Amino acid sequence: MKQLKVALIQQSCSDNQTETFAKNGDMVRQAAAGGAKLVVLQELHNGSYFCQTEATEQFDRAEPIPGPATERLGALAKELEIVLVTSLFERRAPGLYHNTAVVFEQDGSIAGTYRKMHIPDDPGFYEKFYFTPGDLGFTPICTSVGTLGVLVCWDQWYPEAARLMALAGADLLIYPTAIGWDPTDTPEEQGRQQDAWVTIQRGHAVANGLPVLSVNRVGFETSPDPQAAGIRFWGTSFIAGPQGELLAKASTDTEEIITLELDLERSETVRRIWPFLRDRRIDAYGDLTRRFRD
Amino acid sequence: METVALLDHHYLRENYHQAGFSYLLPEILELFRDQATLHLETIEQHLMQGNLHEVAQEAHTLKGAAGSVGAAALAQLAHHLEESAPVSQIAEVSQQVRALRELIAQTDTAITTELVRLGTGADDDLDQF
Repeated sequence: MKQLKVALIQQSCSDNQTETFAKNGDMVRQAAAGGAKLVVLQELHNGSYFCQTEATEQFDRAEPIPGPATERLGALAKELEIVLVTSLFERRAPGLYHNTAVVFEQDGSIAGTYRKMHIPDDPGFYEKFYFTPGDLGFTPICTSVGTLGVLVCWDQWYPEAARLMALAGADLLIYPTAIGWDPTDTPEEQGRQQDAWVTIQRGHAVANGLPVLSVNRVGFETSPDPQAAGIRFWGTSFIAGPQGELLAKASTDTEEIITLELDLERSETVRRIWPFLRDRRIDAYGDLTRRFRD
Repeated sequence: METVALLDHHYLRENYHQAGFSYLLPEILELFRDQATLHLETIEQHLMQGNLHEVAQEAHTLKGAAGSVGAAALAQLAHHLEESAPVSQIAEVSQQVRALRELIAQTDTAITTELVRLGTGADDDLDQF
């Protein structure tokens, strides 16, 4: 049986870099000490979620890849001999930035990168101001622990993204995320949003017969905009199996490491009884590439 | 680069059919097919642990097994993996192991075709290869 011990790091972040990096390093070390070979960090784990407002000085946070952040994280992966999934604000050229996931191998080398394809622009999540949509496509990253379908946050609402990763041979779907509540929303609305977020990703697990690893930020972050209420990131990082079954789930308000031994052979077993890939009507799906069927 | 056959029929003809061992070939191909899968699993487990020297050793064994049944393309890739694994970054080795997995699946299909051919008593047609 092909087993893989995975760990998700759910943490809160601040712009005290020393503190954020140290905490992050400690949690990753703890996960590795627990035997995890694949460790996944949340979206933009190097600091606070700066997209609550649009401000040009925030571009100063971006770093080239490779750069100082990849040096530090690559060294961590190498020290612990783990595959590490990270999420960085990439400075590709002056005025050209991406929201980029970087996967490190056990020897610290970069196994591959993925540039976030779907960029949101909602109140409090003004990402279109900062991030150019990805141009690397939905290409899984081949690593020593398996082929990783790494997507980022807003991508998680798009079945097409998950499907294309599955069709390209991904063994796992992975979503580093930063999502939370507007504190002024009612508890009922907050509940609906959180449920929808878990449900759609479990749907990707079912539809594609793949495990899903979703890692979200936790904690409250104020907005630089005095009119805005800030964001309460809802944590709830989780791991679902290839039938969408919830295997592990973190709390909504606490920093946590979730560790789980995944059976990588279960996908094939599940796909044999639920052969959704077999029955796809690819002859009739052409219109999926149109904006609207009008 | 020269395209190498999944199954080298010339090799099989010389070393099995012309040597009088045609009757052994189906069993040997079946055995190899199972072995290849086991070798791949071992390689993937070593890779997961980051043990590239062990990856190379297992690739060496796979190379020999593949060569002995005329699985030429697989033998070639296993040889490449054996040589490169100890001196490469894990990211590159991971790519090669993924390619190896695909090639083993293709070789498996070629073996199935060959077994069907052998089973239907198509020995007379061997010269066409």
